[in-house]
Amino acid sequence: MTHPRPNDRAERIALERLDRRRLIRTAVALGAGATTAAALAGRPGAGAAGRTARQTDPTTLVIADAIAGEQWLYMDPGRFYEINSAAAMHLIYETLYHAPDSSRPDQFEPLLAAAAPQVSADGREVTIPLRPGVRFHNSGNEMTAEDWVFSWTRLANVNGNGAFLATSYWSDVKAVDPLTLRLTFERGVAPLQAILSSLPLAVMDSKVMREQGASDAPNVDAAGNPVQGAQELDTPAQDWLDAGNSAGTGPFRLAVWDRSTEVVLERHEEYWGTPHALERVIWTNIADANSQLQAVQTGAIDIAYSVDPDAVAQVEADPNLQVISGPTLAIEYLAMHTSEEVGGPLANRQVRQAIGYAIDYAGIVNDVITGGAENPGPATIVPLPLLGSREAQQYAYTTDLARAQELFDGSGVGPVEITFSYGSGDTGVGGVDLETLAAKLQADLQRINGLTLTLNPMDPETRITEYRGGKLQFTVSPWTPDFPDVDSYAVPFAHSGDTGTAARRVGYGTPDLDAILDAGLYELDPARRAQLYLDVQRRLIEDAPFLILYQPLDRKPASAAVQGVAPHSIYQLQLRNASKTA
Amino acid sequence: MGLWGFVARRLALSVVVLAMVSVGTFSLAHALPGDPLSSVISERQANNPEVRAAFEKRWGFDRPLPVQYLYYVRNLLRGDLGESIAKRRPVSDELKQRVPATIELTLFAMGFAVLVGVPLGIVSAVRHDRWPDHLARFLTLIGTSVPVFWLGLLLLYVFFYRLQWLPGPGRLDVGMRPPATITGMVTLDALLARDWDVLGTALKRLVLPAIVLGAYAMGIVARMLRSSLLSALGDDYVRTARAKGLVERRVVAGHALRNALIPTVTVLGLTVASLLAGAVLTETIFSWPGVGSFAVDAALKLDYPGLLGVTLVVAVVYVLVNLLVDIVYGILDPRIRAA
Repeated sequence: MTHPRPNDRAERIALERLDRRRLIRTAVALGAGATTAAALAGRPGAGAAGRTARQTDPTTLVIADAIAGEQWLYMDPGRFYEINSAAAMHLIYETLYHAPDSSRPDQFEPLLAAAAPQVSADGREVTIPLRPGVRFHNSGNEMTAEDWVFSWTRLANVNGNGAFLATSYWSDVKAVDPLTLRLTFERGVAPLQAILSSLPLAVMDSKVMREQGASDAPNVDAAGNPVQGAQELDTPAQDWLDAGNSAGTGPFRLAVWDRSTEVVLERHEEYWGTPHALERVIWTNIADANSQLQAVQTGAIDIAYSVDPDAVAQVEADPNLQVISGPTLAIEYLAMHTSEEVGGPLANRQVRQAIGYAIDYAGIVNDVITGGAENPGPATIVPLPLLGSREAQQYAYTTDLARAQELFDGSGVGPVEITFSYGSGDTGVGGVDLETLAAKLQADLQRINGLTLTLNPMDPETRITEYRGGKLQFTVSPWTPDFPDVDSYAVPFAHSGDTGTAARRVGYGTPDLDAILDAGLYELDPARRAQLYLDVQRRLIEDAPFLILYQPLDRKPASAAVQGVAPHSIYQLQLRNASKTA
Repeated sequence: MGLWGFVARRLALSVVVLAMVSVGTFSLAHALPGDPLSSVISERQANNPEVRAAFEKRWGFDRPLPVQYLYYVRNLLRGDLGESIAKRRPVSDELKQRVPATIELTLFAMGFAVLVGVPLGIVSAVRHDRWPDHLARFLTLIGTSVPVFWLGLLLLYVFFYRLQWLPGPGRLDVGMRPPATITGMVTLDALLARDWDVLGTALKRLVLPAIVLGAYAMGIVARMLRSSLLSALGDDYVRTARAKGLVERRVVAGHALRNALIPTVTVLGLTVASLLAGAVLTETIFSWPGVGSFAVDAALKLDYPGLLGVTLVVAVVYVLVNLLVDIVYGILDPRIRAA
């Protein structure tokens, strides 16, 4: 037996140490090399040999959105008035009419109504037959006209943001029989189906809701004195709904609502229509648009709710992804104050018109929003394809610097400095960075000799407060409609009364416009109504208190496996025909 | 002064500090321009004086500011932090759900800071001015100087998007339900419920945000330990230990490190509180449902009750940690109690 000599042993130990060191160094180098190489490679997952992007369960659709933010506050038609959560609300709760075609948000079909509204000869009574055999999820109770009366009375008396829908148009609602609803009006309202397709006017299971403590009691007594009504008494039902319960008729029911992490809808197996192809729809909380995109690219989710316009080309180039695109009814507009006191030189109509001719509209659509907008866009505040918007396009402002200079010089205001206020760090509709948009406008408008545009970035909340208070000389703002009808734009932007919410902010409105608008709401003849609103749009273009910058398209990155999903101007995402390939 | 007298004095001072914090936050929040109701009521409602008055009454904005503050303090003493304007639910409910998420993230971030920072500090001091020291100092420099949002986005890009080794934002996988709430910390609740799937997922999802949040603390710990260990290694008692023939490992671990750890532990304690406040960016990047992301929402929406609630929680943690450090110091060094 031979023993290693001390020197041999020492050498071997030294060699072993060297080997270990070498091994560690090699491992570190390999690891770092692999990490770097994979990270720099052109596709996700390149570092994991043979691994492709994961796919979610084909029976489950997963959508990423900032659900912990202020866009997911209520899953209750009585209180709901947010934008992003409309897609989920449209799957859980149902209205009398709906606009199923994303490309025609102004075309309505019966949903829980059995037919179109039957209007009496004087236009003051509208009878709506209800679809028979519709059952609420969870309880299995059959839907009746009483459920509609309860739901709308509760909506009015809970007094949330959508309450005006139940209080502004009809004077009475009655259940004639279990399957017939009757509305009484002072005057017949033209966009009735558009109003009745609004999600706050969806039906809830009155029996279940009452069991859960819901109240539809008025908040004032017959003499007008304040009493305890639904505004205070409905809290237990609100808590019940907030805990992840639902009482609707839609193809899905709410299964989980964890405000900070996810919303889970599960298929309503006893749905009155064809059961949905998917078993589950999940919204998961990812706030940042880039993280949402990465999650789609890695296959962790199916649809990203938000996208940076600059990232759209990257999605289009990826064979595993698609861009789901469709029209919206949102607009981004400029508001110019028309009073001397606040508007200064902008009180002069010719200066406002000069600005209208100086803007590079094509540059904004092509470069700022990277093609993600209607082109050509609407002429004024009524978006395409609503009533009169196509006809008004012939009067639209186009980029014409010579005309702009001529108007500016003709105004006689001399060299002027105008302050342009915008929400710093905020984004406009379509995900446009407002800093970029403001810089673009500054460059465009300063092409008018004698006009200097000073940029005033503001805290977004402060800006909206100041704007609503009519204190801003010149600003940019978004608008989305209460319901898909021209009235939802024309009245706020052109009426001088309380309903002219945007017009008041810039001191605009005249009695003759008010008369046209009041007539338009009640004009039941489509051709005459179209002419009335065309007249309003021509006046708005001529007076130029507002200028339209763009009407965005809605674009959402999605997995190529997703089918039948379209952006929708009211429901945000039309998911009723959604499915996934395996 | 006896120990209990010292503790009582510190406690009384803490209450004063918290009262001042509440007054300061309340005044500053209300001094900001803007209308908090603009984010919660529609234009139509804002223009209707009756509806607006009802909303103002609901959130107490119809009273003079000092009266609002007194009501706030009264409610606070009853444990009522008010209703969040942005979230439309009680602030205490929101915090009850979010504080454990932030504590969990902070604990793991501290774990990372200690597990990486302490060895780096030791290596750096023991191999002073050689390449392990340079490497360790480089790593700690990165930890203390790289902006949190950049590090977060970079790690997500590399490890979630490119390599797909780790999951992306969020606390659990899509569709995975957390176990019944006991502590509110998913890892601990999963451990108690023996739900290994959830535990594994939650741990994986903690890796990136914990590294991002803990990077700064890791750098501080390593640098503090290196400095104090270097100082200790030059002391007489270490020379004596070496003269007695102790192996270097025992000299470092058994003698110098013990003393060098005292200031490091102190710094670590104070860092815990700053991590709670510093979770704002990390939670936003990783969609982590904690106090930090709530603070962002509250600030953006001028949600006064929400802002006050978050500030109060962070202030309480700061005050408690400082109190604890003061008491420990008082115990260790009686001269401080007399000061």
